[in-house]
Formats: sequence, C-alpha cells, structure tokens
Amino acid sequence: MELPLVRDIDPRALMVQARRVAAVMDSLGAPLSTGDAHGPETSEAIQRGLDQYCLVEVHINPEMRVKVARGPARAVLTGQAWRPFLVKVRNEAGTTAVLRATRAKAQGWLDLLMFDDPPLLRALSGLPLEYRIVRLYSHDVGRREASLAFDVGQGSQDLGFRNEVPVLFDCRPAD
Amino acid sequence: MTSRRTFLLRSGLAAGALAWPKLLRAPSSTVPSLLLSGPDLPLVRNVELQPLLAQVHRLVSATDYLGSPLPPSDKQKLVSASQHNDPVQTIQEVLDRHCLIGVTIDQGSAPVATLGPAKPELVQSGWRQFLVKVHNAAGVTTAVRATSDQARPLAGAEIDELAPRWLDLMMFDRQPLAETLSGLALEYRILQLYSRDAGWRAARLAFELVSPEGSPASGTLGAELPVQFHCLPAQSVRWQVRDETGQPTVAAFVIRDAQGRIHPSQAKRLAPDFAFHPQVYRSDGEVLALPAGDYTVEYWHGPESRTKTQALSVADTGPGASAQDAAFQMERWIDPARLGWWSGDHHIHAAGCAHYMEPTEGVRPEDMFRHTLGEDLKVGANLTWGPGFDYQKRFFTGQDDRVSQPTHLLHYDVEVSGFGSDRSGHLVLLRLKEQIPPGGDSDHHWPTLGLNTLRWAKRQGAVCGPAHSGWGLGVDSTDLPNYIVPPFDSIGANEYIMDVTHEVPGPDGTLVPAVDFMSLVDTPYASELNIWYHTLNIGYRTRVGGETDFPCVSGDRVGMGRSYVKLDGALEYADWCEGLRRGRAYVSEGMSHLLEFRVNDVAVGERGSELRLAKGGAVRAKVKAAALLPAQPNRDRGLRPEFFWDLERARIGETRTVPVELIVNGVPVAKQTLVADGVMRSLTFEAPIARSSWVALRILPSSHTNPIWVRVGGRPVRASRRSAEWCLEGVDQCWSQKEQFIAADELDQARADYEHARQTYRRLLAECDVD
Repeated sequence: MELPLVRDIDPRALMVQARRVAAVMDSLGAPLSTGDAHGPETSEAIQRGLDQYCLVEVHINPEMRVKVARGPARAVLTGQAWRPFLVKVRNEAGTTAVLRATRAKAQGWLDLLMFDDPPLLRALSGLPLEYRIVRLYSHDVGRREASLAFDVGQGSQDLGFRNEVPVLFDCRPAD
Repeated sequence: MTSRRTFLLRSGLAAGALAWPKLLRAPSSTVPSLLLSGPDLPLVRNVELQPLLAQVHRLVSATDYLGSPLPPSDKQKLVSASQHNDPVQTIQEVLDRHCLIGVTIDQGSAPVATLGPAKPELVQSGWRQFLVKVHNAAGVTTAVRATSDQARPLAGAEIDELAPRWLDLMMFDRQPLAETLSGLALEYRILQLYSRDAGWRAARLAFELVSPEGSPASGTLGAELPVQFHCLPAQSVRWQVRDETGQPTVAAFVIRDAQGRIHPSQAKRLAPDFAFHPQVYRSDGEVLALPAGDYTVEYWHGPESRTKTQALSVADTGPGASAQDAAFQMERWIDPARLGWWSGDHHIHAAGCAHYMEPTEGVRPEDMFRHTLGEDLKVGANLTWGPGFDYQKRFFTGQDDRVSQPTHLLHYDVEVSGFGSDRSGHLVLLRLKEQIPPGGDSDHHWPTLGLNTLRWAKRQGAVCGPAHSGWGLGVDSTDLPNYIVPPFDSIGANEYIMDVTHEVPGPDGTLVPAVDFMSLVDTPYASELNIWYHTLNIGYRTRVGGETDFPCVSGDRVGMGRSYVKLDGALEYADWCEGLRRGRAYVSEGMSHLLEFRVNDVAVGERGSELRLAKGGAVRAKVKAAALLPAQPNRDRGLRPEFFWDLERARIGETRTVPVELIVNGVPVAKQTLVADGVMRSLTFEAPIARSSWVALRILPSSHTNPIWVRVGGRPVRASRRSAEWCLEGVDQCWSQKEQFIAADELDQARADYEHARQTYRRLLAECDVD
C-alpha cells in the first residue's frame, strides 16, 4: 500500500523538515531508522523512507478541499501508551492553517492529537509536501475501528466522505 | 476496466446500442417461475462488536450516498442492534437479506462464493446495488474484486460474443468504505450491477483477491457462481416540463422509487448528469428510461420557484409501446428578472473538485449550461482554473458561449487557483479579453503576487475580486464587526487587505481600484463580512457578489450563492459584470430578496451609490423585501454546516419571520420583522446620520445589499479608528504568511505594495475621528 510520490519537490527543504520530524519521533520513543531521515538526497528517496511510517496521507487541493487516504503503516496500538504515526501532507493550496485530526464522537475508545510542539510548527508550513505527526491512544484492547478525519478549518472537508478514512486498529495490551 | 457505457460513448455506438438493437440482444431463454435467490448465509461468530458497528455505520452512509438506501426499518434495527442480546447476529440477520452473494476467504485458498438471499433482480439500463457478505477467516487485508465473463468489454469481441456480454459490474470501495478488506472476520461490501438487457439473463460471477493497485494475487480467483437474474424492462417516459407561463423549460428532478433508490442510478453517471448529485436536469420533451413502478419525484427550477413533490406511476406497456408522459408544472414565488434584477453566479467550474478527469477533463459547456438553466441562473461565469486548465481553456472566447440564450448566459472566465498568485488568495477575473498573461499559453508563468495579476487584468477592463473570501479569516467570534485579527493563512480574501489600498491603471490608463468586489455566500459569513465592513468603515468602496465555487466549496448545485444585478435593458454579460462592479446589485442564497434599495433619492448602484448631504440628519432607506421559509422550521437544512448562508438560520424562533436590519458603518441601527411567506413587501427605515457613512440592508445570513454612501459635508467615510487598526495589523499578519510564496523577481514590488498599504492605513487611522 505505497503512497504516491510527490514530484518536483525541493529535496533540501524536505530534508530539513524530515530531520525535524525524525528528531521528534526519537523523542517520542518511536525512532525512524537512521537511513530514513538522514541519508537520501532526492525528494523521492526521502518520501520512500518516510512513507512507510505514515498512517494516512492528507491531500489539500488548490481549493482547500481535504481528502484522506490510508498509508502503509501498520495500525497497531499498545495499551496505556501514546503511539506516534507520520501523516504525509500534500498541500497544493499552500495553506499555512493548522491541520486538525478528529474522530467520530462514538469512537471514544480512541484519543488522538496532532503533535505540534517545537521543534515542529503549530501550523502547516505552506510547502507542497511535509510530514506531520499524529499521536493515538487506545483505551481498549482488541480490534477497534476508527474513522480518522482531517481538516484545515471550517468547511474544508471534501465532498463525499473523502476527508475521512476508516482504520482497523489492533490494540494490544501493555507489555 | 472501461465500462460498457464509456466504450459505447467513445466509439460512437451509444445511440444504437442504448436502443438495444437485435445484435446485442441475448437469445430468449426459458423463464424460471421464481427468482433463484439463495438460502440464508451462515452466521459468522466471534466478531468483535465495535469495529463491526463502525463498519455498519459506514456501510449505511455509503448506500445512502449511492442513492440506494437500506429500508428505514432495517436502518432502525441496525441502530438499535447493540441493545440486543447478540448484536453481531442481529446485524447479520438484517444485512444478510440484502446480500446477493456470500464470500468465504480461508487461508491459502481462493474465495468461495455462494448465493445469498437477496432477490437477483436488475433493471434494464440501470445499476443496482447489492451487498456481499465476506467471511474473512484468513484475515487478509487485500482488496476483493468481482469478475464475470458476461461483464467483459464489447470492444474486441467476436460478433457472437456480443449478446452474452450483457452485464457490467464493479465493487464500490471508495470512501466511506475502503479499497481493501480491513482484516476483520466479517465485512460487508457493495457490488454494483448493470444490465444492458431486459428479461431473464444468466451470469457467472467469481471473486478474486487483488492488491490496491489492481494486480490479482496468484491463485486467488475463485470458482464461478451461476446466477440467474431477472432484468426489469425500462419504460420510456417523456418529460413535460413547463414554467409558470406554460413555456417549455429545464428543471431539476430527484426521482426515487418505492425503496428510496435514486434514478437514473448515480453510480455510473456521466455528463450532463453528475454522479455527486441526486438530481438530474431535464428539459421539456426529453425521454427517461425507468422501470415500471411507483416513484416520487421532487423537482424545482431554482430557488425562485417552489420545490414540489409529486407521485409518478410508470406502467409496464410492453415492448414497442410509445413513451408515457409525465407532466411537471413549475410554480414561481418570485421573479426578480421580471423586475430587472438578473441572477448570476460568478464562480462555477466545469472541471476539478467533484468533477471527474476521465473520460474527459471535466465537462463541456452544454453540460454546465443545462445545470444553470435548471437552476434558472441567468448568468453562469464558468471559471477555468488549475485542474484541466489546458483542456478547458479552449472554451474561452471572450464572448458568451455559443450555448447561451437571450435570457440565460454561460461565459468562460478565469479563477487564479492552482497556479500563479493563488497562495495569497484566489482571484476571480471576470469580463476578460485575454485569459492568459503574455509570456506563455498555460498556467505556469503567472505572477505570484496577486496585485500583479490584478494589474494585468484591470488593464484589460476585467472585473475582479477575491474568491471564497472567508478562508483564512476565521476567528473565534461571529460578532460583526469584531476586532480579532485573523490568521490570513489560506486562500480567501487574504491579500485583499493589501490590494484594496491600491489603484492600478485601467484600459485607458486612468487609475481604478485594484479590487472591485468581495465574494460572499460560500464561506462563513462572519469571516466574509468582517473584513469587508472594516475596509468600508475607513472609506473603501468594494462591492459584493454572491458565488458558489461549484463543485468545490459546494457540489449541491450551481447558484447556491447569487448576485442579483439590476439591468436597464437586455441581459448582456458585460453589463451584468459592470453592474457587479458598480454595486447595482444585492447578494443572496436565493430564498430572500432585497430589491430597489435606496436611501432618500439615491438608488443602489446609481449616481455612484452616493447621497450627498450638506450636514448630518435623518435619512430614509427603502427596500422591497421578500423571503420564503416553510411554515415549520427545517432543522436538517438549517444545521448543515456547509450552508454558510441559509435563510433557515435567520428564522426568528419557531415563527415564519426573519429580521431585516439596517446597517450603518457595520452596526445594525434599525430592524424590522419580515414574514417569510413569499410576499414582497415595501419596508422603510429611518436613521440619523451624523457623519459620512455607508448604509446597507441585510437578512443575515441570507441576503445583503451593496452599500449606499451618505457623504456629509463632502467628507469621506472615516468611521472607525479600530477598523483602521485592524486593517493595519492585518497587513502585517498577511505578509507574515504570504511573503514565502512570492517569486524572487516580484519580492521588491511586493514589499513596496505592502508598505504602501501600511502607510495608507496609518494615514486613514489618523483621519478617523471616532473609535
């Protein structure tokens, strides 16, 4: 389930951003393998390295409509712990708004938060491609489904349910 | 896989094939006495409830979205399933009845299909939805796909293979469902089947596991399952569509059968019908193919006509019978055009967002025109933008499109979106003579500073303004005015805060305002109006226009947001745009109207919209107002978040009344109650005017007039220091967000333009004599 590669991206800006995200993932106890964030020199190689950690991809079209697709990361949560995942953001609108993640009220077994503390910025950078971090916490054990929705402000959800994606999580007890 | 319909349309065979010539008819077969549905499917045990409930919720949403909802009684049972002793069994008992097929996937084996209890009934020329129960014992997370020899394409087939290939099929696996199986032991999928023919037809269906990219997994094609279908014949029904004067017209129709299913099926619509609509637009004399049965038809002809519902019974008249007739009479509640006020939507698209990019990059002029006719939208400004730009640009001529009629115009212009200066805020460019700046023939070379785009457009006499103004201007307040500086972080009227301070050369070199209008109605009203009010309060004279941004901000229909422009003569696009520029117009979502607004003897949009007084005193504002609400509140519509402007939200309590407010310098100073029964009433307001001011009327959030300026003692409007301060801070905030998007060769110009705005706001701040 590979995510599509975004072409014509400045690898330098992406690398700076990827290093920042990697440092945060380190601090959150979910380090990326070293080569994923530091080694490659092309934007495609950087994406190949990071995409595997993405739970979802968020696509903001030029008219600010947000749609979401499932990424390749395995949806495994472990009890009593926040688990960070990457979110690949294709920002064709160049918006510098805040990216918000939500789930349905009925899916109270799950907590989720976008991580936007330093060194990450609170809002999107406006770059056409960046990676953000979403953290998830399960109150339950077992298999649980949640529909994860994303938006960049009131009314930005795309038509036809496309701003949300269902994910079946494997919620494991704490070790 | 290319659908049969797509193939036929591409190959030019559509007219013949869709009439079911003998060549494509299957030989008559023995007619079974009963539909051969299967037995109950085995119950799947040990399924965790939460993910199953979540999946069922999505499944119900998907069937609703596809226009093929589950019966209300079944929905209710599903909602209450968790209260049963064995909710997993209850869910299966409800959903299994709708399953045409059950599929079992065991580890290392191909999927095994068995016939389910749903009646294998199809409809000629239409799509039907069925459920497929998947017992995923192996827990695989690949996609599952249905195949059938009877659904193979006609292209390349031998002549004796044409008749047996009567079927088309597809699995619906888009959101809110997912492309792949979740891995849960029990899952329900949606199978869509299309029949070319009427009568009894046999098909053999098989299922296989495939990757999301569509590659079949080796050895996973299951054995074929024979299914005998009964395909109900379609009847020809000729639509008679008449307006209130008895003239033929075009209208919108939502056609539901007794089970609530939408016809024609939404699943495989191509233009002129849009798959994201429940409605289709049909003109008088057109013929629809519908199976015999009872229907409910909801229809309308734009917001100025009443939405009506009537029953339709289609008889089985047998082969070769002439078309049956169905008559629909429109009923208008208001006719602004007859009074000289012509509706228009300056922001609709034929490509991008909800439109498809295959088989064509969006749709054609005649398709969009059908929709504008059906919504009785007198002017449709069809804007070419990023998606499909190089395909759609061919329709720009600088003239009305050839499909236009004397009372309804379709005209191609441009929205700067998806290229150029879009990140500083999208721009609507109307009445263009050239659609692309010098230096290229596409969308790659445009300026990155919005003001530079405006300099080019205004030089050719275009009428310009920001699109979807409220994006990037949201704050935690709906007060009007409010003084919270918004983030300026998106694509609405962001750079406007700088642009509005500039004048640029017009066609003859004379300086003209860089911005003519703000777009209203398609984003949160407080965000749109707050920035407009602040700039008016310190002397700018930007006008307003209504837009939809169809089908991006809303795909419901064209003309969700409208400008009603007063014209003296026949409808001409250039004059309509000029009326928009001069503010000889009001904005509305169509359900309320504020016509003939005047202050003393000055009518809106005439004499510069300016009333001159030697000294302060009372003025009298008049308007002809009308609004239409159902007698009882419609909470569903009033709560739909994407209807930012909606008369239902203006309703006073449980009454059928709405407030009409007189605004002076952004603050309501008088209010009257209007009965929203569709009757036009003359209202008169009086207000004291102490200093130069702008005056307008509104029914919030449904309609708003343009301003009339009352100039006292020859002084300009300087009505609020706080507005000037808000604008000044806004320039800095906007620059903090937008500087990064300006190309290097435009940066010096951009810095100078923003600095000009700062200096101008500081001067205006000093000139204001009230807070």
